[in-house]
Amino acid sequence: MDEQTLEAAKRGDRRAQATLIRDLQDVWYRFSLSQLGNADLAADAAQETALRFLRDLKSFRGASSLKTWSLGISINVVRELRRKRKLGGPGELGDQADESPSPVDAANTGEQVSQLRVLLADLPERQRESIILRFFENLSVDETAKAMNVAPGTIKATIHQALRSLKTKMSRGRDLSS
Amino acid sequence: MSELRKQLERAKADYESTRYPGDLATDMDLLRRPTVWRVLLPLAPWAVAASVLVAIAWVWSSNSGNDQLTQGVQHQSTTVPGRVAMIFDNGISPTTAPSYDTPAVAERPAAESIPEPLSFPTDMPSMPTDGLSSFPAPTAMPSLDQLSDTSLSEKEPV
Repeated sequence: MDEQTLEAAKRGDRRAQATLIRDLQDVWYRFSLSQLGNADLAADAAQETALRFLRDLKSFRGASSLKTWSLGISINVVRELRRKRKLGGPGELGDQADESPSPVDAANTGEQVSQLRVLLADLPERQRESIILRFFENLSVDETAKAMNVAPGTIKATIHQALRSLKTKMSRGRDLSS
Repeated sequence: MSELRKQLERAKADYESTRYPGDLATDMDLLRRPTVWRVLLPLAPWAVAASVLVAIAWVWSSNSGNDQLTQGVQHQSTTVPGRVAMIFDNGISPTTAPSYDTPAVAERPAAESIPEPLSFPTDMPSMPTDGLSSFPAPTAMPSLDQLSDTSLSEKEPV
């Protein structure tokens, strides 16, 4: 994603805008899917994110990377969608959560990825967001803080709590399976 | 590496393999070329208005041209010895071209075609024939000669 494309997209060049959206569409979709747990809702969230991204692109000043900035938009879209639909975590409805009924069953079958996914779905919203951004999207603590619009110290504490909660639940699951 | 880290790494690989189903730019109509109708449809009301104005202007101009012809304001005539022709400078040619071989003077219609005037009836007397036709004689007036003789003799002293 070069500077010329970004400037052209800011000026309204539709080809440049399409290039940016193609670069970021997977980021928005997989983040939305990890938070909502439903493919259709995630696609809707990605489209809404793209609309707001193009609408607000002129205000992007480059204080963070375009990906970090756009993930901030995606976070807001997902939160609004969840609030509007009165959803809880992604485990409430979801294509991913349906594949593994409970953390205990997932541990028993040895599907560790599915187990972790379910454990993540059980986390509070902010902890889940920070884990996804920090470890799955490879954002730094500062970038995660910018995307979530909080202080870096808050992110550190949130991630610490999330990891501790995951560890506890995993060890509890192992104990139950053994 | 802890068990949690290992699981996070595996979940990350799974997470990164997720792709948006389709092309978001196309879904958002960013790359669709504008069709002819997309360009022309917004212009349709303006085209209709423009054509109405053109039609009104054409009707108005044609009417004003007829007025000039009937008023004969800008008519010009040129005379050629032995021939007479009317030339209109407003570009409107006469419906029938004048013939130079026939006289331009209108011919008098034949006398036979004029109806005879009504004749007065001859069998009807012009004067009434009954007694009313005799008028009483007017009263006799004295003669001026007589009046002058008597008056002179009385007024003039001898």
